[in-house]
Amino acid sequence: MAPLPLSGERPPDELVDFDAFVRARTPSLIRAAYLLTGDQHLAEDLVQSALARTHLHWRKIEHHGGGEAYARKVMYHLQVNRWRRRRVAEAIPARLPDRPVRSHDERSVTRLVLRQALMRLTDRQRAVLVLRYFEDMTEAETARMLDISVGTVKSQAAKALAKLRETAPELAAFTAEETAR
Amino acid sequence: MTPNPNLHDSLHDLASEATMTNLLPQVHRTSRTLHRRRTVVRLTVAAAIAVAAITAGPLLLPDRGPSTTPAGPSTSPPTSPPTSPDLIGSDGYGRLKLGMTLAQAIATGELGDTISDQVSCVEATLLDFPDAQVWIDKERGVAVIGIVTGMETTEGIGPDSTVAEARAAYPDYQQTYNTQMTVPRGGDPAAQLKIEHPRNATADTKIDGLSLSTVDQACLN
Repeated sequence: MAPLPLSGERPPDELVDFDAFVRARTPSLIRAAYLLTGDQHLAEDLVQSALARTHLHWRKIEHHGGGEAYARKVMYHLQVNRWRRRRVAEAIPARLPDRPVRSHDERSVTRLVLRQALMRLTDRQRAVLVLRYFEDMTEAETARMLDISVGTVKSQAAKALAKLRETAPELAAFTAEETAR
Repeated sequence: MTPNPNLHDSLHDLASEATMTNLLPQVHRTSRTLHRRRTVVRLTVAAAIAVAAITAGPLLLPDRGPSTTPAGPSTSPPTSPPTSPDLIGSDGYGRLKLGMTLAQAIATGELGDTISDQVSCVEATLLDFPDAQVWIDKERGVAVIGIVTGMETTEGIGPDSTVAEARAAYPDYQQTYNTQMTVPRGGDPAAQLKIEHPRNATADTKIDGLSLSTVDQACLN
């Protein structure tokens, strides 16, 4: 456990706020990052980088109550850019999870199939799908988050769903359902 | 039995695999590194500017010559009278109707630029509203027409309407997703209005996206 700060060394309030923010929001960010990267370690790395950048501007951002939105936006942008740099290495299907997958129950199979299908999408397609169907953002919100047009969101989402149907026909049931959106 | 979860639930299920760890120490470490890096860059830039200033001497001093005055008195833009919004009916916009072939759509003169020409669909804009996108299926015809500011449905709903106004105008809406309402519009081909709104929207929340499409459109599936 970290030693208690000596009197006079109390961290400034903004740092206390930031730490509380990190504790509260890390789980939510990691879940999204896990979908974006398909890997626990890469997800932690991504969230850590996004939060560190958020920390640099914390005083300004927090004043406007925009900590979470800022961190999330940085995270999505970092992932899209990082993916461009390492496309070849990471385009290989995701590593299997470190811990054993629960024996053949359907839920585990769906997870595995979905994870592999997600990793076959481009960075932007995956980001659009995660924002639209995991974060439940509207097309306009997704467009603002990624700094792309609503039209691009629409077409990228369409292509991503088509690709999911193609690479993972097992998931056709729900991807067909999403068609209605 | 084949599982039939929707994509939202499946993504949440997959994301629950992620292990939660305390990232605070790493975050602070990375932040310190970034901060140091930023300081070094700033110092380097400052040093470069200082060197440049010394080398260039008076050239970098602010120009003390006669300041240029803005040309003429500033003219305020003429205030245009408020125009009534362009109406989009249940079957299309102006002469452009859902289901029209690409050639027919072009012939209406309502289309602006082509944004992309894909295998099965063409993505274009409306001539009057360059922000409004139109998708035309090369086999099934006009599939989706985006509705942007300046346009309004015949029931008076536009991109600036609230969720409550949209629900009142279309009591037959269906909540097809937690960020989307769909309103059947009938016709041939069968049409529907898609109304997007932020998650957890209240009655006063503004809607966040509006489009008219055929029910079986395949351009954006």
